[in-house]
Amino acid sequence: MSWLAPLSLAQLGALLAAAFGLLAWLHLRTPRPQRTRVAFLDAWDEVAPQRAGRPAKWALTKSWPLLRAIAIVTLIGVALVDPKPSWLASPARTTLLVLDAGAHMRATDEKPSRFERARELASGLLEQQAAGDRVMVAQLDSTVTALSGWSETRERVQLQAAVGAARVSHEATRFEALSRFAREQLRGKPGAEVLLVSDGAFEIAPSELKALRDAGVELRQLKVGQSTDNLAIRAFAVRAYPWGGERCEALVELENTGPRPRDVELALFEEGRPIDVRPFRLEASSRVRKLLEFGATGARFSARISAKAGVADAQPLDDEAYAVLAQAPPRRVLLVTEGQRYLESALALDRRLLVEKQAPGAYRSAQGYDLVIFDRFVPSEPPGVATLWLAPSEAAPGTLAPYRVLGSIDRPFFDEARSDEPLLRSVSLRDVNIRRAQRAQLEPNDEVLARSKLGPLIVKGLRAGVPFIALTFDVRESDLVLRTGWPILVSQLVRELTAAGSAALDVPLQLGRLQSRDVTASGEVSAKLRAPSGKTTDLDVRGQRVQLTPEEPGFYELRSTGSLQLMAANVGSDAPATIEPREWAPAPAPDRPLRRSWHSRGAAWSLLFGALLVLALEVWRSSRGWKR
Amino acid sequence: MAAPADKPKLQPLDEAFQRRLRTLSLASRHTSRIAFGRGQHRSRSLGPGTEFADYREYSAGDDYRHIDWNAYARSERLLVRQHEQETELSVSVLLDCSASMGTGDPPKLDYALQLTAAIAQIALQRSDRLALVAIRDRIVASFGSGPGVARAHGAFEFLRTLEASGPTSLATACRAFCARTRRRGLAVLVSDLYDPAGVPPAIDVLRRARFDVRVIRVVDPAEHEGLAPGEYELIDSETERSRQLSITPEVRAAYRAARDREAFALRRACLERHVPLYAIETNISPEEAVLSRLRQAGMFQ
Repeated sequence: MSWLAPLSLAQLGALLAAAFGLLAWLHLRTPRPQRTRVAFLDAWDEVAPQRAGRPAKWALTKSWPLLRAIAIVTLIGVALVDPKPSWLASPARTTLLVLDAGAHMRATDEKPSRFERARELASGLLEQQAAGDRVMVAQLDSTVTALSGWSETRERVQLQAAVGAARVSHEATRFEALSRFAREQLRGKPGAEVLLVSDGAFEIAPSELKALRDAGVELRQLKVGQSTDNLAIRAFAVRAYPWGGERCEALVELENTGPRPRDVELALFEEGRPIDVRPFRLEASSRVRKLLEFGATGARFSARISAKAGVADAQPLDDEAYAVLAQAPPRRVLLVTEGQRYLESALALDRRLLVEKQAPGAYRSAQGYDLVIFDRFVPSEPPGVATLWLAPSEAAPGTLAPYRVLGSIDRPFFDEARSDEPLLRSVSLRDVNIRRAQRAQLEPNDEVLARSKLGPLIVKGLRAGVPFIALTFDVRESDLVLRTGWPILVSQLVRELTAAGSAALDVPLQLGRLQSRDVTASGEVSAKLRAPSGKTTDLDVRGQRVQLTPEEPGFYELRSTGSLQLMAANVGSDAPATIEPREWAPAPAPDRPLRRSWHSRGAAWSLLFGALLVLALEVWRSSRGWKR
Repeated sequence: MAAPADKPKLQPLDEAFQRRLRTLSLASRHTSRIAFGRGQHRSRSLGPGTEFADYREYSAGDDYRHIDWNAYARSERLLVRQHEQETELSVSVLLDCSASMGTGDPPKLDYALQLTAAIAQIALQRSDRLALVAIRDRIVASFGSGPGVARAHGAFEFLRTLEASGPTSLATACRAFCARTRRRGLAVLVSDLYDPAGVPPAIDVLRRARFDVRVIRVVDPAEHEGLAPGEYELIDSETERSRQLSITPEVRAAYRAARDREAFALRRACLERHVPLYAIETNISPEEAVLSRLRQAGMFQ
């Protein structure tokens, strides 16, 4: 019924002016009564007596076609304005109609999706909105996007177009954004209300609801969605083993938001080819992190979770995730030591490291290196790069050592080691014998990764904004270097400090977010981005960076002169996997605004009916004339 | 209906038509009491004439020239031949020239002029005395002529001067006509007979004046049918009175019925007065009207 959408006064004026102009033109073209001379007018008087007042009636009769046409046009025109007689009118309201466009609205338990269902409901609400109300249409994800200005409900066509322009995003819904927007827009307006068409699958702080109430804004929610079942891949990353080869490991985090345990299969794909399928059982409302090892030579990996047959998954968006195996660039490492065979051997295992060795006396600067390792040495000037300290020498106070040495600890053991620390993963520090360690005085923000009862043994922190890791003991005076975990520990510490670890894990793009990526080639002014669907876009390069907003999950190729950068795009990590529909506010009152459309348009329908009646009478009258 | 023409057109009678008119004479039960001139109408009285009527016995004082000597030779009786007295007929054509006669297609006056011209031709070639009188609510013009076809030209010229205008009052005009006409004879009223006062009074005036009255009604068939349905501003051709009227099929049917009733009433009034009424539609040719319709109806012999 959009064609019957109420018109604005300006539109009505233009319409009536055009209609009346047309009528006047037609009226002028209408044949006048024929002036006819007759031999004997009394003969006509005899059969059609002229009654008193006849001239006036004749004048009326003569003008009847024009009057009739004006009446019809006026009735239809006024009907199009959708007048609201006082006995039908209700107090005007100011309604912010909001479509939830968060990623959870992509759930398919409503057909075709929750978002499309929400769009239908919003469209229906607009049709039933009372005349005189003012409405704004907006969509909500992490922010609020106004899709229309404040419009009278008679401008229904524009409002419907605004609803049609809403697009579901890949972001999480943040109600705080809506709360703030609504308070700004609706404060002090009569009958202020927010009509939220949403599944409510997000969190609302009670303070936000209270803030809305305090601002005099009434929140109503029209709920969509039914199912809570969702199997999701919450995280997926692939990295090569530190020591090279064709071994890779994948980190996969799976979540089951449903109320029942689910048997699922996780399939891994390399360049689109399946390379591994593993079954899992996910408990109800649980999240599981898995590390999978496999051999691979490709760069594009994807994971797909699927439930065993017969169990539905309402949210397909997060069933598949993508990751790129990053090729970490070589890192330059300066080893300042008088000689450390075990350390040099451990460093030599990582083929991505370019290690240069200097004697402490030859050290001048660490400029140009990604990492400097000081073995029992403290420089006189800050190195300015990430540093791995091995038993910094007991320098006097005021030197550049990462901590003050307060004394020594004899025969310490690793009494505590953080089990959740990735730097210590796969390394067993139990029963490591140490002859002596330094008693270190740390700074407040320093982080102790492992310690003895008497003091820290492995410390991590920042100095002058530069990260460091320090072992407070000389590895030569321990059997740690003889343990199998030694090269692993060294590798993990070095990779941490050289950021090679993070570089080895490609950071995927997040759908729907504006993000920046480096372009390696300098002097480029544009780069081509190829989306998973094959669509290619030119991107401007500014400061060797491009900005992009991925809209579809999968692999993107960023191509500039001589370089090709591969990127994976997944659902944002902040988008919750839960799709459980929730009601945060009561539904719109049944009588308001969800009134029956006939009632809300009673006057309009009556006027249209009147116009049709006049037309029908005229047709009947004309048909009688034609028959004879 | 067409507006009245400014000048009615009188078409000259063609030769063939005139030849056929020579065979006709106006039928009338009246002839002049006195045998004026050289009329060709037979009289019931015997007297000078060319047409043999009977014999009678000679009596003293009879003109010898009338004795039929051949009959005497055969019968030895003096018989005097008697002849029918031939008289002339006084024919007066009262032509309605009111504005209503200007309506119709062709205008009724044009058609009436053709008929009048034919009647004049017949009368003059029969050596009748002819009077053409144009009437409305009075006599507006007249033309008098003695016998003789040579005077037909003058009669036609008179007819050409006539035009339709003014109101109708047939009775008033007939009264004026009777008052100024001493010679009685045949009075032919040619009109559409649209008279607010009615036609019978006019007929009665003529009858009381002892005229042998004939009435020729010129009828426009379209006028009889009435106007097509629609919106009209009707203007009376004589009074210029106007009125607006929506003519619906019902109104039109009622009009036709009223016209039929009026024609029937008029015919009945004429019958009661022993006055022949000839209704001639303008969609037939004047020749056919004269040679066929009027002749068959007894207007002409």
